[in-house]
Amino acid sequence: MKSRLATALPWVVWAVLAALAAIRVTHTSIDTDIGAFLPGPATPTQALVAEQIGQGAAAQLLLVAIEGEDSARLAQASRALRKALDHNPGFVFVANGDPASVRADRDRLLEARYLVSPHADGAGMRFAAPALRADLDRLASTLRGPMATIVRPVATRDPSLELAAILESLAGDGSPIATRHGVWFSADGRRAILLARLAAGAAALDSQAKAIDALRTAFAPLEQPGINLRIGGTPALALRSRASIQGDAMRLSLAALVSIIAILFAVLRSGRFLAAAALPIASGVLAGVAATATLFGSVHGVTLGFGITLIGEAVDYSIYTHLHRHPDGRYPRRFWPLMWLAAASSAAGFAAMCLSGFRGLEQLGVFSVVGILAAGASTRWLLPACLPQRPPPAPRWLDRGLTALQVGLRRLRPLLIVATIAAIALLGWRGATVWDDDLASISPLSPAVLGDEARLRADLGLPDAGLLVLVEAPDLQQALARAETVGTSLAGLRAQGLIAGFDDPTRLLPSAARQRARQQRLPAPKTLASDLDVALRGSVFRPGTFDPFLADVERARTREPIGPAFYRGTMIGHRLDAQIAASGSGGVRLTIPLAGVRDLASTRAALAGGAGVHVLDLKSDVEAIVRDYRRRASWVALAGALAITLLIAWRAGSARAAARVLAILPGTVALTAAAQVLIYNRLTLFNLVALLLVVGIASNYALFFAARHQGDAGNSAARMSVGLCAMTTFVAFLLLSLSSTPVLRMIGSTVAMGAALGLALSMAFAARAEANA
Amino acid sequence: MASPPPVADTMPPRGVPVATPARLDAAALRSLFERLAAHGGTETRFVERRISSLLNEAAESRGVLRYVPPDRFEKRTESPEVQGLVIAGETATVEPANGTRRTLRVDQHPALATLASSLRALLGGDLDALHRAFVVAASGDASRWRIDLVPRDEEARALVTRIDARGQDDTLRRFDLHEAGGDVVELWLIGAGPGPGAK
Repeated sequence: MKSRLATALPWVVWAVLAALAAIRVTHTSIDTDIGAFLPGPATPTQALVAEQIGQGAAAQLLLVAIEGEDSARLAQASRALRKALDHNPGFVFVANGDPASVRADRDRLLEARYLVSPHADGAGMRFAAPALRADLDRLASTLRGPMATIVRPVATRDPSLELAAILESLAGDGSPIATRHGVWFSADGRRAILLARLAAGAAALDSQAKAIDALRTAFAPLEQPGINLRIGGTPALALRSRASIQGDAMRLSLAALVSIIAILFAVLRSGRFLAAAALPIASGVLAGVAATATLFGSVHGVTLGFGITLIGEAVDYSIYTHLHRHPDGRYPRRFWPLMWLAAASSAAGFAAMCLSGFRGLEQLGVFSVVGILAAGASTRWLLPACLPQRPPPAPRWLDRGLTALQVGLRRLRPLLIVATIAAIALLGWRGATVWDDDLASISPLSPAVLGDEARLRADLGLPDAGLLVLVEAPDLQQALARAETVGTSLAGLRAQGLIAGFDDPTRLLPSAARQRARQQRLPAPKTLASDLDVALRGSVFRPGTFDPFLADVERARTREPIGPAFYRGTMIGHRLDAQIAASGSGGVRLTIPLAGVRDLASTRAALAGGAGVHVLDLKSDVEAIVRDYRRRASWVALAGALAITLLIAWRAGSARAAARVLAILPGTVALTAAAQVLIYNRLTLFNLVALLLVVGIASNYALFFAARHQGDAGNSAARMSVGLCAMTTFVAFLLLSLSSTPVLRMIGSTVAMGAALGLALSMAFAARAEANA
Repeated sequence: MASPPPVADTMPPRGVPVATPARLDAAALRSLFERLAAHGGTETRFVERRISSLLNEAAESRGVLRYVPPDRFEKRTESPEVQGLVIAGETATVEPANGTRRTLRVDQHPALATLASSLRALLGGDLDALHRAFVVAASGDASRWRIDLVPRDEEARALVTRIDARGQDDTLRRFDLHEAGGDVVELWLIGAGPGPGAK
């Protein structure tokens, strides 16, 4: 009765824990944006950078291209798509540069011209008779010139051609988007371009996905041979990276699992073993996800990608357990301590991550430590009862092959030592330059996708989101006033040629104070009428021609200053909406993108000291964040390696075994890292994390080879089990290295290489007594 | 070379539908354009008059018009002030009298696009291009013809309601552009014949 209870107890415990974990897992959401994996901001600037990436105006902006040969059909499709989405609640607006929206913008600017014109602050005598006469003469000559037909419709309202001056000053910052057949096109005419702003923010990725699906659905009836839809922009990229990480992690984990099963079945020929091996794997993954979800609220896609690593580790445990069992069902005396040491050293490598203070690394750490321990525990207490009663005889070809391999590797020892020294020398010589901290290189998106995105942005004349000035203030009017000061400084920098341009919202929306000052400079109706009379005398224009002008000036003089609502529904309004945002502290934040900055230091210096003014260099600020992260991760990795070292030194059994293991580990890491550098010419954050995993795996191999086993059977079991483990790990990660997602590819190739090199070094430097046995 | 009579006198008043038996049929129009195309480049003096409700009297300017096949069109005003318009392919360079020289994209400015597509097609003899951009109505006969053009593009029509082009034999003589605001811009090509003053 008692022994039955002892047998059943582990199962009962497991069942309860598994049920709890399963409940947690089914309520888990998955993060995929790389920002969630990055550390929390350490400085206010970093906080602003992180916010710009996560929630800046770009986070809701879709760039849509309709590609094809026949530009007339593309334009038709663009108009139809816009119309189909016009009242879709998922979109704030969909713009394609159609003439009606261009006209709407011009109408607004025409109405606001005396409050926003670049001339409005100029001489107060602008509307005195002599100045008016000069304007009229200029108008007369314009009406005889090439722009006559364009100017004529507004000539009676706008004799000083204020609207033209405003449009010119707005266009000065960059080439306007090309237009064909009345809609936006890429310069080469092969892509009709639309801009769409989603109603949902970045936090609601699923709502964004719904809106993008609606866009695709709306395009479906327009689809015809030779016309393709391309969707870019931050939300589309975020969804794409989620899909590609999830898809790859899922597909490749499955492929890895299938090939591991195939290898194990080919070697061990036992269905029962395979079924039993699923137990530690499932327990480990379930426990890892549940623990991560419980502690962090969600699980990151990159963490899940590491799930595959756990499969490898857990399969290894089953293999060791299966192959070391004696025919009578018992285990060698030193087997379980060795197993515990293997699991503990792998876990120790990741344990340091849990304390790193970085969300992403902490997730990886918790996931791995809990997963490894759960897999280890289920291997110890549940697996033996499930394994086949008698381990199958070892296939002789494998044993012979591995023996021959080991003999060969032992001969190559000098070469391996030289290679290791060369690897260390290479890494030492490259030093800090091996690290690539560009966010793009750890982005889950492929370079092809990023290239498409860059082209779309170029089509739309959007800056590379590189440099921008943020102006913060407690309310909109104060923010506008501060931005006007910033605008003056920036105009000075532009005049000196230090920057090419800047997109200042106050050109379209001056502060109320500035507008009132401009209103006060406008003449009273009687004054203006009499000055106009004087100016008209002797001119080519008929009296009364410019009555609409008189009415317009009076309306501008007496109206309420314009606010953001004045532009609502126009493209200008959308543009301003993107530049005016609520700041974290309940105030207002204005964004002023800079273009063509030739001298960042002077730009910073010119704006320094402005209250609430921040200059952000997104690319290098993000790189600094990643660099910081990577550096701290290096310390964490070192701490993990140290933990492994101490554990092995303490528990390896003999000083010689410990010394062997501790020489093999750095050798494996150096060779793997150097190989990665030779192939990819750089290392990233994810290589670093993968190397930590390599240390864990290689320490297991080294431990089993370095330990003295009992007799030939023991040696053979060690060789066979480690050989099999390395084979399965190698294949699993080789598959991962085929992923189109750079992050998964980096991890895959690093670990596959590390497993192979770890096995080679472990075999070559195994305890001599065994190899000769 | 004997001077032909002024074209304007032989034409019906503007806006009156033309219903003469001598109407240019499709074949005659095509052969007219083949002869126009045979010219190659053109260089001719012009007089332009804007008749507008804004102005006390018609505003007049003079200069040289040049067409270089296949797609370059230049209008250089010499008096009363120097102004220039060069349209080459998809770009237009404008030089106002007292402004800075600017390069514009023709497709961004329907008024320029209308001017460019009509004059290039008429001077270069490209009937297909004319049909693509305009609803074309021809009248008269091969020796004295009139072609009425209405822009197909809605944006262009909001600025230019109609263009009447008149010519004699294989030469374009007069080009009237009717703006939406009611102004009429008459362009008289006087390289080979009398100017608009000759009545």
